[in-house]
Amino acid sequence: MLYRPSLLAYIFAATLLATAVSAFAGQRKFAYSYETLTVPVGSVEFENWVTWKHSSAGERVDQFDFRHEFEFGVTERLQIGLYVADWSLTESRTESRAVYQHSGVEVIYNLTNPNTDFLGSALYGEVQVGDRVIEFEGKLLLQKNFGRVSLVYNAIIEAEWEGESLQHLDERSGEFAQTLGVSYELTPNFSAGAELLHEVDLPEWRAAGKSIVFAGPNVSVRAGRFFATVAGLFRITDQNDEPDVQTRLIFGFDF
Amino acid sequence: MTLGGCASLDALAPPVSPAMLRAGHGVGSGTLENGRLLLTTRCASCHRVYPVAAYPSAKWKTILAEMAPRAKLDTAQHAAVLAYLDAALAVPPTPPAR
Repeated sequence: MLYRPSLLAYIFAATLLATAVSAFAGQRKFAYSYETLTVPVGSVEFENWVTWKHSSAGERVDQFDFRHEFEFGVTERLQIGLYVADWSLTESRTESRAVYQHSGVEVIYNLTNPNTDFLGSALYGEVQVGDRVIEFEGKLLLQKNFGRVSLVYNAIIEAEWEGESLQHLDERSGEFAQTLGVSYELTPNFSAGAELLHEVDLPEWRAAGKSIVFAGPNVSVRAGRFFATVAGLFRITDQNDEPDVQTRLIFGFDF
Repeated sequence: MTLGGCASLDALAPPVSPAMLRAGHGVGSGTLENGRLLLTTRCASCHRVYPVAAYPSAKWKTILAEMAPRAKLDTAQHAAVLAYLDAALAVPPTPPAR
């Protein structure tokens, strides 16, 4: 499926504009880290993610990753998310293409509360299946709130099998990642802070590959049933074949 | 780990005490405990824990009328949070131990 660059730019601009017009505050305070609390039982939330990765070394490449997700509060501690579709747009001087990647399910189980317990914690599991890829992801989520300040840490392990089709998944890879975030609640509807993302490739699960670190600011706003969270992370390690900068916008609506 | 595990939380939302029960107009301790739990967990899943003493009872009622649907509080839970807030506001805060 091919799109012209002008259409891609329009889609991204429309996404940002829709967020700005809605003008909100954030249920999510972080774009790259999960918090430990689940959505209230009985609630249904629709979230859209856009992650823009920009690389300038060699050929200039812009990649836009999209996610459309429904989240359900099942019990006071259990949340289930359905990824309707993850897809990406890649733009370079020579090509512009859109690719469906996968759909999936995530489950978050809250163990302890960051306000009332010594440390908030939760477990996260995710399965994603595409037409030629299967992914599993597990996370340990930790969080502590000190008044207006929230601190979060995520440890992430990911396994992926890929191939020409689901019957021929002959490439395997993995990744270990960790995120760290801090956010300050300026008002109930506005928070700002910073996030750090550390990724370590595990090619073929044999040895650790590249170790990449990104860091940058985040902002979260909410108005009524809408929220939006954005973080812009800059690569601070020295791998020129990786994106220089990545920006993630999450905007959601609570039904 | 329990609610009592955080001293600063106790300052924001005082634990249910005999004085609160006396001020609670016959509301049981279970309801007040549940109200405090909801205030410090469900309500605080989107924002920080606000001090009970930050607002008078009438203002809390207005705030809760707006926020309860967002926090998906049902009628009984809404009433429990209000009962806890009323009882906590009716009891003078205990000075910190020396």
